[in-house]
Amino acid sequence: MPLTDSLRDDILASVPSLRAFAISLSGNGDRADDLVQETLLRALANIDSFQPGSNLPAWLFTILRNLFRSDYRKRRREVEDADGSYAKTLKTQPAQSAHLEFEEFRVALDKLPQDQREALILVGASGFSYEDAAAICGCAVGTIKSRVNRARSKLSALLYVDGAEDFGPDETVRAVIGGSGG
Amino acid sequence: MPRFQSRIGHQLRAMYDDVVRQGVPDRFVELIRKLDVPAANPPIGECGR
Repeated sequence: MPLTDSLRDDILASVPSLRAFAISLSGNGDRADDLVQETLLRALANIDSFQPGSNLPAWLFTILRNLFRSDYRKRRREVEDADGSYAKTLKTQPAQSAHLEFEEFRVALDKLPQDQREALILVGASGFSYEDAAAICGCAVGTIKSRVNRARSKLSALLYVDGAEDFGPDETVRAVIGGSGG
Repeated sequence: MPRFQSRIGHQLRAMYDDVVRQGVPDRFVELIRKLDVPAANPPIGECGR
């Protein structure tokens, strides 16, 4: 459809959540904003392919996710740095106490396989339905559900292993922690 | 595990909403405005193949 004023406003209104998604995926603010910018350029250049009345945020998230994936593959080849660079970007952020908790969480989030991370963010933070998340990721609804479940289990194991003592040596906890390696 | 799950959900949304609350940075408002003239702009990026 043509770029109407209201469509343009709707696209702008999606920018805050696109940025949040991009930062959650990449863990890097500058890179996230570049991703958002490229997403907007792609979206506007291909606006004719957007179906009026369909889910605009889902369409934009799909573009961003695909850009991130191709960009990620490129960078992966260029820089073989599993932990180092990410740790450095965290240290440049202000060390406020709220941020420390965010950092700990982000480090754990970054350890998830990409498939699980994006599924968890889309459903758990962006507020998409399992169906929309499946469409964005180009996979089955059941696949998204299982990725979200695995992501939650793994994060529990990564973040709350120490905290598990508060609840006693629960067999369920042990099973999840033990089962998260594979 | 439900207690852990709700903690994860809470932290995930806190991290996410922290960014959402920052609103729309000026660079994106400018970007959309600049590209808002139909027909005058050639497509940007690789969509022209």
